[in-house]
Amino acid sequence: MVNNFNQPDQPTSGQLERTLSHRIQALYRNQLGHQPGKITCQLFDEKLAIIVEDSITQPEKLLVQEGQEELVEQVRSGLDEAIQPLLRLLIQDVLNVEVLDILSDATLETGRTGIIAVLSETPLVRNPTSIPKVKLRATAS
Amino acid sequence: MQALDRQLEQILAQQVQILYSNLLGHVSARVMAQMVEQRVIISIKNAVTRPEQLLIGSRVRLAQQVRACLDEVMQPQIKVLIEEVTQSEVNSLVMTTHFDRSEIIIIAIFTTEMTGERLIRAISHTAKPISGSNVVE
Repeated sequence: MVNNFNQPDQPTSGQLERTLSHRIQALYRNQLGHQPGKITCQLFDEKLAIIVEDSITQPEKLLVQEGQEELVEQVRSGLDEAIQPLLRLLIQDVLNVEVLDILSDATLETGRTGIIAVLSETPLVRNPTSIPKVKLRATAS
Repeated sequence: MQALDRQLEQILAQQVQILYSNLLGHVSARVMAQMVEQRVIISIKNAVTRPEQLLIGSRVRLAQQVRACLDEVMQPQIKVLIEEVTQSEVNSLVMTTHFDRSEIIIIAIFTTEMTGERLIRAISHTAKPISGSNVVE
């Protein structure tokens, strides 16, 4: 269900997405000692999509150069495992909704990581119709 | 002679620090070098990178595997760097990582003993830019 009791003091979806991007960037920096590239966050329906550019750390890049892709895949999965609980808390804190599931994968060739967080409900925002799919559902109900 | 030793140790430590930082993107490592007769002992403190530290918490064996691979990649480059800085051939090089202390110890043994003349040659050589991957970009 879409909550349409939007308040003027509530953030817009764009503000939430920008806050998430900044905080995820800081999480990468603090936890991995790595400054990632651009981070794009997009709310859609009861989900959040995150794209992290240049997400592969320098030691991983070095191992890929040496042909150790299989080892790096394991490292990636280990790092994801370590970061996910923190990412979950971060998203919950910013969006003020529960995170039910986090799915993530990285492409070593492009250095991009894609993350999808499944939320318990669509976050409360000042402009709910700007969130894709919410608009469709709102007009249908 | 001792002053020359200290000078070369300092240059070597700086160059190893630059190489380590360039290869691993890990800037907080502290490097010390000590020349002892025919050997140089290098200690890299705070050497374990953040990704490895994260892995140690849940997947120690994977972290050890990663470190073994990183050491394998770095070892020949460190050997070349030591040879270039000291202008002396390295006969053998041993590199061990102590995860618990976050420290790497490198021991390089030269083919022949470092004489005062060779120290002077090495120091005057390092006054010129060092070539290769150890140069800060």
